[in-house]
Parts: sequence; C-alpha cells; structure tokens
Amino acid sequence: MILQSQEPVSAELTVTSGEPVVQSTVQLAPGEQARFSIPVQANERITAAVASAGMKPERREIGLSLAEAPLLAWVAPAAPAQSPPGFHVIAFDTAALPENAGAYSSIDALVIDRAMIGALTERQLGALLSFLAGCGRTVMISDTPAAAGMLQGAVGCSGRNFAEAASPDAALASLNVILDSAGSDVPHATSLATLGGHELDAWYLAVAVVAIGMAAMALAGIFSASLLTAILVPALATLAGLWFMQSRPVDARLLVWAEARSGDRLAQYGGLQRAMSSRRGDFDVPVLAVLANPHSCNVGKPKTWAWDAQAQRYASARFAGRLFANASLCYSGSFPVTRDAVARTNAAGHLELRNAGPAALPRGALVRDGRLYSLPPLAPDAVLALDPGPGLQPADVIEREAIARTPFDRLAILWPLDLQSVDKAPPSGQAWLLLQVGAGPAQVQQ
Amino acid sequence: MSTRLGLALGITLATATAVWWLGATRVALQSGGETAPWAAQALFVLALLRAMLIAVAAPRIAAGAGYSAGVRSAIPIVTAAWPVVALAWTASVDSVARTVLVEIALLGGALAAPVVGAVLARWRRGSASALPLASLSGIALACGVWLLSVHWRQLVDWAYA
Repeated sequence: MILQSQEPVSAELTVTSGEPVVQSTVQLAPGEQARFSIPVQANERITAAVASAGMKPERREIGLSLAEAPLLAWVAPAAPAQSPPGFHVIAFDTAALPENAGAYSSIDALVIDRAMIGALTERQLGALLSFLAGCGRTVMISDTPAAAGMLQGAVGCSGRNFAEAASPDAALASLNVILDSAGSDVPHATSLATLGGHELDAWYLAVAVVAIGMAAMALAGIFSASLLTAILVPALATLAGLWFMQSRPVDARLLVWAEARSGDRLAQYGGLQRAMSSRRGDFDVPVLAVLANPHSCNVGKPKTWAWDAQAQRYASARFAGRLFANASLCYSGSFPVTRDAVARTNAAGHLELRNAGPAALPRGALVRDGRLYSLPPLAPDAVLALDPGPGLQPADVIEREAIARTPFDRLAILWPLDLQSVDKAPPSGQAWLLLQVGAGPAQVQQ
Repeated sequence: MSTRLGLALGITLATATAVWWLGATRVALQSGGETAPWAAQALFVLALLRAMLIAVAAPRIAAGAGYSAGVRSAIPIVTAAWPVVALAWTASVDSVARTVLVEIALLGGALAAPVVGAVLARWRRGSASALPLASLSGIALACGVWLLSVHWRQLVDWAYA
C-alpha cells in the first residue's frame, strides 16, 4: 500500500480483512510516497482507510478471489509444460514477492528461479530466508548444480522441504518428492493449549466472590431484619466483587515448543501466548518481538492488531476482555540449534548415546520406549552408556507430549529452554526443545 | 420476618443458579468451549426465576400481612442475586444498560406484585378466601411471566433500543 500527502501529517491507517482489524499510526512527509507492507488474513474484500485530523478520510477497497486448491507460487520466467495436478499455480515476478515472512503463509509451495533471487530487495530476501528456514516447500531452478549457496545454509528441516532442479518440469517432479516425504510438523496451537493446562484461576476467584457475597448476605439476614440492610449488603457485596474482579491484573502465559532432528541446524517452534483477564473491557497484549510470525489462533482471537509502521511489525493485539475469556496469540518460526546426539550399539551390544554437536548437552530427559530417563550433562563427543533400567513414567503433560511425539523405535531428548532472551515474556513462560536422536554408525538395537 | 424470608429465598435461588452456571462454565473451560453463552443463560435464568418467585410469593404475603410486608419480602429476592448478576455480566457480552434495565424492571415488579395481594385482601376483607385467591393470582402471574419469557429478550432489546 502506498500513501502520499501534500503536507506533513500523522494519519490513522485501518486495514480491514475480516476479523481482526489492523490499525497503525503513520507519519507522512509532504510529497513523499510512503510504502507499507502489512500482512493480513486473506479475505474476499480488503479495505484500507486513512483518516487524519482536518482531512477528508480516504478509503480504498480491493477484492480477492480465494482459491480452494493449494497455491503454488511460480517465480520463474519459464513455465512448466503441464500444470501440476492438485495445485493452483500463480506466476509472480520478483517485485510481487512479499517483504514479510508471514505473507508466505498464504502459499503452499514455491518454485523460484536462481537468477531472479538477485533482483530481490533486502527485505524480500529476508522474508524468503525466513520461509526457507521455516521448512517452506521450495524448489529452486538453476542450470548450475548446487547453486543454492547462501540459501542452502538457511534451509530448515535439514533440507527435507527444499530441492534444486534444472528445468521447470524437473522442478515439478522435485516438488512431488517433497510432498511425498512431508514429515510431522511442530504441534499447533490446540496441542500447545493442552500442554499449557486449563486456566482455572479466574474460575476459583469467581467461586470465592460468590461464596463470600452469599455468606455476607446470610449473616446480614441473621443479625438484621431491616429492608435497608437487605438492599445495602447485596449492593456493597456486588460493588466489592466487581471492584475485586476488575482490578485483577491480566494473567499472561507463554508456551514455546520446539523440535529438531539430529543434524538439523534449525529447530522449528510453535508458540502460544495466552492472557486471561477476569475483568470486563478491552485490554492489550504486547506482541513478543523475538518470536516470529505472530497470528491469530483458532480461539481467543484479537479484535484489532496494532501495526508499528516504523518497526514494520505487529506491536500489540487488543482483545475484548471478559471473565473466563481466553486471549491467545500464536507464533511459529525457527531458531539455530547446535545440539545434536546420535545413538549406537557398542561392541558389547549396549546402547550408547554420543554428543555429536559442537557444544555440551545440558541435563535433560531421554525419551526411549515410551519411558523417561534422566540424562546427565554431556561434553562434546562424550559417550554415555544408556541405562538399561525400566525408566520413569511421564510426570506431566509436557513429558507425555514428548513421548507421544517420539516414534517408538527412536530416541529423543527433552530440554527446558530459557526464555530470558524473549523480551516481555511472562515470568511463568515455558519453552521446551525436543531433539530426535540420530542413528550412529552401528545399527541401533532396542 | 418478611425481609428475612425474602432474603432466604433470594439467596437460595441465587446460589442454586450460581452453582449451575459456574459448573457449566468449568466444564466449558476444561473442554475449550465458549463461556459467554453460559453467562448469558445465567442472567436470563436469574431474571426469569426471580420474576416468577416474586409473582408467587409477594401477593400471598401482601394478602396476609399487608402491602409493605409484601414489598419487604419481594425486594430482597431481587437484591440477593446482585453479586451473581454482576459476575455473570462480566463473563457475558450483554451490555451494562440492558442488565441494569432488567434489575430496574424486577424492582418495579417487586413493588407492583404485592398490590395484587393487598387489593384482594381489601376486597375479601374478613373472608378466608383472600389467601387462596392471592396464591392463585400469584401462580397465574408466574405463568404469565413464564409465557412472556419466550419474548423476554426481544422485549428487553426493544426497551433498550
């Protein structure tokens, strides 16, 4: 979206694409064009309105035709000989590629010509790298083998969703291979909500408020038969209860679940930020800048997003507060990971775990055969003989989830992660990394 | 005595409704369901049951002990539910104006319902039939409230608009 004004002005920009609405305060310099790239949910009708004091509001509307088939973005000069079955192909030139990684969520696969990557702007390249790091299905067309270069280093999921091809038709064949080998994703918001547990604090408060109010009225009835008492005591109990509930702070929670396989340079994560308010009325939840791709979850959607035009990101989300209402924001992305471990059978036939990464492994929990074993810290290249004992039953939902997401014939290690680097993260936030252990040189026998 | 009776009736009704509402809300919270519809239901049930209780009790008490005794018993039936009403409102999407309007209407009913009993007592002065007639009138009023409840929300919306 491009805005231009003849005089310096601070304007309120509102973008409506279904629910929620995006709002931003933009500063316009006289005669200069200001370009804004705001990712919004795809909708058949998208409206942008600009209003400022002393100016006539301007409003523009565009219509979109939403495809029912998966979308394949084609960014290459040559088209394939035949259309890929099951996909709706959209041809782009490089100028139309998004500047925000979140916008890539509207496509299901990308075919891009290596020669066109050089024409991308810095922001477009950053968005493309984020898409690749997030295991976005991508095929790069290049005459030169292994021309991916810098892109190869940014690809997530150990390159399982990335391929190179010499021609458009070969690109489609590579895409089919990627689709056939699609692995499991990081748990989505519903699973994360289950991991976070049920938020019953507000419920207990409500029970307490009702119980105290009823007790106060019963006592008043015992000690007084006055009508004035029968009016004043309930009225005061009501006001006190309302004041108590309205003055409670918003209870914020954050849960991040990350997964990586042995050899992965990037771990994929899903994040769920929840806020429980016991009061009636709107409240704002800050969007965590460190976590990528903030978006609405299926439940507890915000009313409005506040877009920071300077930082080019969502700054906060406004929710309609109600007692027991759940406000949720979802995140997804990737982060570099250096932890790696492989399992192998030694000469004596016992299972060993080796730290195959460059850094020491901290204390964690080893998942094996549906049981949990304590894993001591392990220096780089150190080998640990695994405990042949029966292990422990999972103690909580996090450990149960780790077992559920580990194939029965594989090993995995679960670690808690430190959220101190996440700005504005709630103190009660939790983050976990589950690493699927690789197989060593010898055949793993369990 | 009338005030204590009204307060006891009001507390019992409000507590029973609160137990049902909070129980349903807990189930909704644990299953990931919506809680606002239960709060709206609680507000509706509280309004309906209090209106019916006032319709039954106030004419009978007023016929036996006078108009002021009827009012003293009816008003605590309304006020005892206020803490639950306030809490249910914070959990609902109902507007504050609509909720206050319902409470004002109930207080109006608490002032008006005893008039039936008082009029019957004056009309059947000295007759033993005044009390049964007041009870019958109260039951008829409660039935009217029940029938009216079908259109209750539309009426409240209309009044609010």
